[in-house]
Amino acid sequence: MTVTSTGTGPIRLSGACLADDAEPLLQHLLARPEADIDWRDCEVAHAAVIQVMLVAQRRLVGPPRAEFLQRLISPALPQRASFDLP
Amino acid sequence: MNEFVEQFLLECRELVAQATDDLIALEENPGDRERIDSTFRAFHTLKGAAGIVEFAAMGRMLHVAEDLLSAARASATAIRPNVLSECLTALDMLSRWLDAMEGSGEVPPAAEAEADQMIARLALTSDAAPVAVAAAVDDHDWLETLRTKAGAAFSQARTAIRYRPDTDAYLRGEDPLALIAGVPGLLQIALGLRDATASLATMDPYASALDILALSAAGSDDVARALAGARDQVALRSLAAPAAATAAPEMARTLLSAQLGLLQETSPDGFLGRLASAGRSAVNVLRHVGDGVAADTVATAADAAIAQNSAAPLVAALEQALGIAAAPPAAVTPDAALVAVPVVAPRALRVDMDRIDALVKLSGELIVVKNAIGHVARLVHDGSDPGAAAAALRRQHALFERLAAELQGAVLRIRVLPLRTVFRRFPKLVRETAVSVGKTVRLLTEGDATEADATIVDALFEPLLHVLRNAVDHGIEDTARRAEAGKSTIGTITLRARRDADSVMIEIEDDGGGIDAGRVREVAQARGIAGAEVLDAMTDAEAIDLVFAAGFSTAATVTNLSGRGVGMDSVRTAVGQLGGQVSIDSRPGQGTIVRMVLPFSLMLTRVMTVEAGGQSFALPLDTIIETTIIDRDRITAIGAGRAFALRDRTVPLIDLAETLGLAQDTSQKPHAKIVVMSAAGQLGALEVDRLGERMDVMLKPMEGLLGGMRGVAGTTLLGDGRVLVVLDVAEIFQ
Amino acid sequence: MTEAAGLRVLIVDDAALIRTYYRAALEPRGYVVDEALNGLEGLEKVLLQAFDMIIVDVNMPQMDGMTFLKVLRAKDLPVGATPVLVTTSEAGPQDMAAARAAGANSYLVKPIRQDVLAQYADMLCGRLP
Repeated sequence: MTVTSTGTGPIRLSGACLADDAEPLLQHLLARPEADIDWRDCEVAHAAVIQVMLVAQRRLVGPPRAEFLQRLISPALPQRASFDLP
Repeated sequence: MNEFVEQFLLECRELVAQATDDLIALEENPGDRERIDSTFRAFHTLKGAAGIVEFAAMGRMLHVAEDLLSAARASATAIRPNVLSECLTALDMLSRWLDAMEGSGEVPPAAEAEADQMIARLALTSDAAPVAVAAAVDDHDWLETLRTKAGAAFSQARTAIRYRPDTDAYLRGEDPLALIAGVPGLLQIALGLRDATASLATMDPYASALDILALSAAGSDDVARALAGARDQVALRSLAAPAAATAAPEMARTLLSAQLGLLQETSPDGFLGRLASAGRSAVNVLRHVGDGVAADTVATAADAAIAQNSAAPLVAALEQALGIAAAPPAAVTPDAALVAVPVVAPRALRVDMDRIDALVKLSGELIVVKNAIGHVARLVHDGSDPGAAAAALRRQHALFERLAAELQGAVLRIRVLPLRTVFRRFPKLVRETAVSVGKTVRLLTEGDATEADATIVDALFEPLLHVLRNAVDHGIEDTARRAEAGKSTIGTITLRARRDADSVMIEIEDDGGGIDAGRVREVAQARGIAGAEVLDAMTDAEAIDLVFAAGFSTAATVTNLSGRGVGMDSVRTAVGQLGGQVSIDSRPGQGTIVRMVLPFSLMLTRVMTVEAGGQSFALPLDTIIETTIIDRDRITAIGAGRAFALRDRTVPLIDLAETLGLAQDTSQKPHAKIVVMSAAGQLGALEVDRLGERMDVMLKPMEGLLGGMRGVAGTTLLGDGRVLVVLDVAEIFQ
Repeated sequence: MTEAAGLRVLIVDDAALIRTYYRAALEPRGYVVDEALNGLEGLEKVLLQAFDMIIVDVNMPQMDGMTFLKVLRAKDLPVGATPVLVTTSEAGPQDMAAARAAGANSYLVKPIRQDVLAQYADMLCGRLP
């Protein structure tokens, strides 16, 4: 399970998030309109997952683990207010 | 802090007071549109003021508040009470900051942290639906969008990428971002959505809606290779600029491409105004950066564009000024680019470090010789043995001679590039061209390490591309006919180069059907290129050479590729301008070879044009001492010739027209236009009808019948295809 | 650098502070600066006298910058051809596209540094180097 939603905390993306993870992510986001997305443990994110995040515009808790996501994708995602944790 | 603080404080207090009034009034009557507008404007103006005194925390906080107000303004429902109260809190905070600034003149140190808290509070009041969804990327603006997002990184970029995955890309198992991640030298990514109104509730997570823009520091070839798996969904722009704009600063480029973007707008409103303003702005930018030539070109194009009520001429001129080239696999460039390209030396050269090192070493050795000669001079001055001094001087002279020759060789080698730099662009272009006409063609290259002058290598791209397209389009037969003739269904074109003494030979050979000499004769007659008798008298080889004649095109049907009304004549002109020659050799059923012979190095001669007997000639500038106009009565007859006095010297005068057998009586004119020249150590003067311009030309020796003509040094081809004869002054005065 | 003597720039912005700030960037370099408080006032000035360049804000009362620009571009030449620099706080691609569609020759996002503004003016007015 790479997309987890525990009910109170942020929706978490971990490990390799593949195309099939886009649908569960979308469902979690729809179910919890206020939830943030924590992608600190995300190592790979398929374009389909990033696309959902792009539409969602949730607050992101980062930085993500992968250098590519951190350096190039994170700045490309418009976020209302996001923060990186050390 | 800054000279505007005083005015800043004054205006901010007024705006805070006004916005506070508005917000309180809205608490009473939340549906008052005018009050919402007024509040929004006050926050907006406050945000702008923050920028001027560099108060970043204030700007950030107001930006978030402004977004809330903007959403409320756009919404049909009344503004919510929690938004009003948080905005009032923000204004209170701002007032405290202003008080602190009034005392210290500085931005209050606590403002950053306080702004963060306020932003978090403001964010909590916002609606679930996001205020601004990632915008759909405008077709014409994608390069501009990247430029804006990338900022300084843009100047490092060599390739801009736009990748719009097909809707079913995810279902096919593709990961467009993984593909992008594999692009070398990635500098920046910008993500957009095809549909700006997409929302979580309506989106299909299995349908790709991404619009990916990226910048890479790698060249477009390398990027294209990395993205080969999705080439039909990718557009690339090469950002390396060969032309004037490399010298122009980045800002000028930005502004010039902005004008280009403006011209691509299709709205009919104010078209002429937009067109004219783009032209005027571009001309101004080029003037400001000191590129008067480009400015004049663009100005002329702008006038033409206005006159024709069409953006096309201006677009072409701007693209030229910017040196924008659409990189493969984008559309092929129109052949019109081939017409009359002046020989322009590239402003920047790529030079191998070893060659620079060789120059440094040579200059060091020259310094040693200089010192040694200085030593000999001192010996002579001090009265030492003249014999010993002479021997030392001879030794140094021999050394100097060797070094000078080496230096000349080394400098010439700096201007040299391998043909690979132009050849490597062709395999892909040929393949794509072939596909577009339904043929299968492979391109073999041989000898691409052969070197030539950088100017020649750079200028060869267009003519070679044209010949290769012709080979694919007209040379190689279609698959059915090849099968019938017992040939492989895959056509082969070979592009080979080799060095031959001071020349570089390039051959383009195809294994196609060859050229039908009879058909060439028919077309040549139909197009009025030559009469029936002349054509009949020609050998087949001579007839086939007519494909290089202006206005000739053998294509029975005009294709998109090579039938744009620009024929092989443009190839001959382009090669001729480089001081080379092109010939064609064709065997029916077996194929065609186009041969180019080019000089290894490009040596330009500076000349001045003159007119005599109604014709133009050129005189080498280094032989001209001065030009003058004298009264005819100062000319006296001396024996069979004439002469005139120039500052106490008698100078022989020759009438150029008469000498060249273009006799005309000039004695009626009261004044004579004279070019005073130095020839073989003597002064001599030519009388001409008119003095012309100065230019740099590629001198080509005379051949054939004209080769032995006295007084002629060679010819050069002008941009308009005319031949200009360059005179050998020493022979004329003999 | 030669003085930009006689080059005329019109600033159209409702914020007095911004106008002062732009003026302070341009006048020391020899530009002759005139001001208008909104698009409508800007149009009145443009029709009375020629400018080498116009700097216009987007968000203004009475007539906004985009409307100003559209009306200006529909005027006869040479008035319609005046180079226009649009300045705004909005940095999205759709804002840029809107400015371009209206006929902007360039687009700068606030806050704008004074030296940058001056450089843009030098380029768009064709001030000689």
